[in-house]
Amino acid sequence: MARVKVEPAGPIIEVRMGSNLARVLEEAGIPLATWCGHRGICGRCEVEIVSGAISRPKPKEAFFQQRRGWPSSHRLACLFSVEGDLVIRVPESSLMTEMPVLKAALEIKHPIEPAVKRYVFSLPPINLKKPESTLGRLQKALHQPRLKASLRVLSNIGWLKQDRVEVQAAVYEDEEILALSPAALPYPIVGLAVDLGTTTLVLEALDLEDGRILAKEVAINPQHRFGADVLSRIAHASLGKKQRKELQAALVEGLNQLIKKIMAQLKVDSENILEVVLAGNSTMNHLLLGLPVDSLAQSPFATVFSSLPPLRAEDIGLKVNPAAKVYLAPNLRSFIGGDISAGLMAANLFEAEGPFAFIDLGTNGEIVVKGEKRLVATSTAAGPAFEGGNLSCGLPASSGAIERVDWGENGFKIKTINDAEPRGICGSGLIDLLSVLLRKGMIFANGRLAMAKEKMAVVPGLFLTQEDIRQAQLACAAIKTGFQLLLASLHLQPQDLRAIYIAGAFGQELSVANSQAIGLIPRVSPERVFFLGNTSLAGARLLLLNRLARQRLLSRLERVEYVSLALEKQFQNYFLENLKLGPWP
Amino acid sequence: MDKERILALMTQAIIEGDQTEAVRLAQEALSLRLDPTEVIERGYVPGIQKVGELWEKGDYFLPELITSAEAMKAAMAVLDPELKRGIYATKSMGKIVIGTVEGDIHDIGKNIVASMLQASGFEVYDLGADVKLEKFWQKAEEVQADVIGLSALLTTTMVGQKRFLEMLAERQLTGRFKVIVGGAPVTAEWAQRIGADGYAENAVAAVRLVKELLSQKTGRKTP
Repeated sequence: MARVKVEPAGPIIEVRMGSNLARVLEEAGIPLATWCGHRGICGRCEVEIVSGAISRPKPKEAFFQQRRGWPSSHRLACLFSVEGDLVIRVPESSLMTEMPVLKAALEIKHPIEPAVKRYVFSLPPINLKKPESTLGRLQKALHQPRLKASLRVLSNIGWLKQDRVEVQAAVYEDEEILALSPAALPYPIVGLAVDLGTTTLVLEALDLEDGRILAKEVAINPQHRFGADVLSRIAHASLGKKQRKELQAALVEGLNQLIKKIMAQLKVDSENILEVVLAGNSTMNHLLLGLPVDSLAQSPFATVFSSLPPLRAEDIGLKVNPAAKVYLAPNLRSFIGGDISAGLMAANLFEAEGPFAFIDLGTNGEIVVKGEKRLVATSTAAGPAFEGGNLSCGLPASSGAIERVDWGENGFKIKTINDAEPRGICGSGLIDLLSVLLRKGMIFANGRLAMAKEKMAVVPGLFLTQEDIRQAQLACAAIKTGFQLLLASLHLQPQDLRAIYIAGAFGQELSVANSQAIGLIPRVSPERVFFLGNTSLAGARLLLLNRLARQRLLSRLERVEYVSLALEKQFQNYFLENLKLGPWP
Repeated sequence: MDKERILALMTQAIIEGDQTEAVRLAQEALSLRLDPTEVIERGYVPGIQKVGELWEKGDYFLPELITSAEAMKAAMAVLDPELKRGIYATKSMGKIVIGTVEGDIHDIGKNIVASMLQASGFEVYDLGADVKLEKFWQKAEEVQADVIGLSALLTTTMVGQKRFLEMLAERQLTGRFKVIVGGAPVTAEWAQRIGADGYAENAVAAVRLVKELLSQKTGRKTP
């Protein structure tokens, strides 16, 4: 065993010899910025080794030491193996304190038809000749002879024994009483819409009667410490039941923290939160429920469930009204989750007239194309390059990330998020940059930096390397290939598309022209490209406010055909061809 | 055209990934009754070696690598029947069984490695993707392979590489074949931890690795 002391006031952690320092810190609850998933590429998890057993820096560490001018005691935690007692310091800049910049969720008006409704009525007095149970009187008053109520609700109805009381009841689907209170008392009926993201959790509280958004809270998904991407979470969960429960507990705890903040903000009690609707990818949905995920990332990619009847908040551990219902937006397949199904619903794309394409650009780029009638969907392993991962100069869309690049008289013209000091490049900036470089002949279509350079400065001290360009080429080719194969499966030409809807991390700052110039999206006229923002949250909101949408979604999902790219014979040829940067034919 | 000129053009055709030209030159070599062994070793092989260098310098990326490997394979296919007639001295570079482990359907990376190995003169038996672990050693036994290559593209399927080595140990086959591993999440440390004989980060490095492993092997070769 070795001891790692984190200065100045951090914990002392006992670890096994040979443990990975980043894992050790993350397991101790230190939110280390490991954007590249412990691969030593992003250089964000810099730590200072104050004293202790130091090995020689790995080449990737030497690279960052040289490039960023670190002293030799500064190392990458993700590449550092603990070989004896250590005293370390973790710089502020290596922590994930900064919240990724949020994108607005689609605002669409839908009729409000919630599953939880308030009934206000007066309970008739007890008929002394023919006394009835209180539940019986409630059933009668609400004209629902089969109305249920939990023991918890029943154990609190002493006050109903009085004569003629005015009562309000929150009733779920006209079948179960979730809460009862005197009609005179204020009793807001609140629901939560949750975007259960791999990186970020977004929670919104809505008034279930008028559909108003009451409050919103955001946090990093605490599961981050088990790995940045879905696959590393699956790998951790697959180690055993204990690890699976760890992931579940982290996620539930993260949600409960947000719920606490929301309640403080709204000054409502947890009793008032009566329904929770979550939209997440299949892995997040499974992990939330503590279900096995081993099969999700292995052929044939079987999920434990695609849709579930509503669950009880109590069973999941959410700190809201224990009787509250929890509804998960249904998964289509292992790689097309509830976030996408909810998003399609929110943007009304099941009904919209084709041909159009919908794309959610993330680590897995999910693409859906509708033809005249058929809807086909696929998921491409684009990798995290467009989220700033896997790049030496990459940064998620957060303060200081270069989000726009253009060419001015004196070279690159950049714009950063919050106009802060540039710290790295995020997806939209990378796309601009590649397009500018292509246009100026500074890279060739095959991605090679002109004049056989190894890297080029974007701003002083911040470089785009040849390897970064290769990563971007791979990401771009994966998406383009998925796009082309889906179009081909519907016998569509790119020009046939009436619209391209873009959801996900990118917002309005993504340049359509530049995305088309490098081949990320097909060449359609720019006014046919629409940015939808966070469709997952918008979908959760819709499903919360409209119970009929849930049934509709299930029936629509049945019609979506899934295309597995890896099984397509043409995939490799298309993919290799698409590694070339340049517009679609 | 003189022989030296043809050999130089062959090298050039491979570097440029010009399959038509590479094939045409192979046919011309046959019609001129040139020694196919010499044609390969002095004409085509320097081309693919140069391609490897260009890759390592960052000049070439996957598409260039693949078109060159394909050109090489096409030229070899022309020369093969002549080689098989057995009147020329030939030496097999070695036999490799390769595939992506079970549960994993990704095979582009593995295909590129297979192509480069084949282009570099190895006999490659590509089992495809999602391959049952037993199949690797069964095939290796059947063809008397020197090397088994296991690809895994997911952190969740990497464990198949480990299980394969355990499986070999259970059957007392450890050391019978050289086992190499690769794939995006795979690292040299992982390879070492599970007791594999080698790891390569990309197709060009894989060719070098296999050459190294086989030269060790022949170094202490027993009849």
